[in-house]
Amino acid sequence: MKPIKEIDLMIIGAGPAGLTAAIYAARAGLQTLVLENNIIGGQVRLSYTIENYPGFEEIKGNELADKMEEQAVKAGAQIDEFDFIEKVSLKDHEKLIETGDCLYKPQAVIIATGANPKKLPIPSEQKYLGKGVHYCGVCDGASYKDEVIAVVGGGNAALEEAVFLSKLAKKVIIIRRHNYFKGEAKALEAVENTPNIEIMYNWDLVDVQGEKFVDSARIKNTQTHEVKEIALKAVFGYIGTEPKTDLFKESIHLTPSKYIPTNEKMETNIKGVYAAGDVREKEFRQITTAVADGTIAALQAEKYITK
Amino acid sequence: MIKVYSVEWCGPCNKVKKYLDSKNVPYEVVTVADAKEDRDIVLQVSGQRSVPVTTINEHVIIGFDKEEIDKALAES
Repeated sequence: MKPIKEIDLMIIGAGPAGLTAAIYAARAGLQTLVLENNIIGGQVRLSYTIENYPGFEEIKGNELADKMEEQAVKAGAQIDEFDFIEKVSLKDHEKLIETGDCLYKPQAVIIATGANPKKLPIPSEQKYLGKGVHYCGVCDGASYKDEVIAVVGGGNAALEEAVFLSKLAKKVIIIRRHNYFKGEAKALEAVENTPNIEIMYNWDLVDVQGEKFVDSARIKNTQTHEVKEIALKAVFGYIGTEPKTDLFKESIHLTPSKYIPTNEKMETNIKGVYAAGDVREKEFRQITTAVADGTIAALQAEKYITK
Repeated sequence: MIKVYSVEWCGPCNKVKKYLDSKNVPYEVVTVADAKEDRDIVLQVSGQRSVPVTTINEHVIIGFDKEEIDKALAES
């Protein structure tokens, strides 16, 4: 029988939203536990540099993640990244979270699980995963020093990772299915000013191939439908994210895209359960919007617990 | 000897190291960031190019996989 632990607040996810909520909740004197089954810092830790977080003109993703983590721990929050959640039951009158080690009964819960990078929708994705299909430039980019590689996507992540990878690779091709980017003008400018980055507008990745490892990609023009092969050793996918809400699908309402709908107080359809950050249904998913969500969720949770 | 093939700034790599630390299990870190030749070690050991790769006896574990690490440690 697992030990039962009653705590004030359980925060699920230790990205910017969860860590900000932890800072506010711990400073308010709430007994706060943050569970993270992936990486503390979330997607921030996988970003090479961040240039749009106020107070830091330019900061490495892992440095910003470290700072947020340290601040949450110093404030008094406990973070556990090795005790994984097995079962969740969230009701108005009772919240139960069963992990490998304990059965937690928090008074309030903040869901800040964030989102995972979307897999590239190509037939050979699994076959070449780690063998030329990658999602983490800072982890795997060095394998392709002096090679030709591609980045697929059109947001800030794609643009920033292309610049990072251009320092290692001989050439980086950005495969972009539209004739525009969704990322910031400044990020695009950095790409355009990098001589060894080539942008292929209106081309979509169809598949990759190679004997054991990727050695070429098949791409298709979205306007003319022309198909051609280009020689390259890897493709890095940055085509957006999908929310991590599988654990909660039985407990709370989700949108058709599996995000969690909330009101402006970050309240879900269950009393005492809040959602914050990229997992929440909203228009803009930035670090700044995640920390704002985390702040509101923690302050609302405090009100709920102490009412 | 347990070996963790990793790069310094990679989140999943550091999570593997922290997990082994939390279990008081000694391991050797093989940093493979700088040279392409070093990166080929990852390929030789695991048949692919992503890090982290953890070797525990005959077990080769790609990424942070708590269940697989626990299983390999239990058998060692």
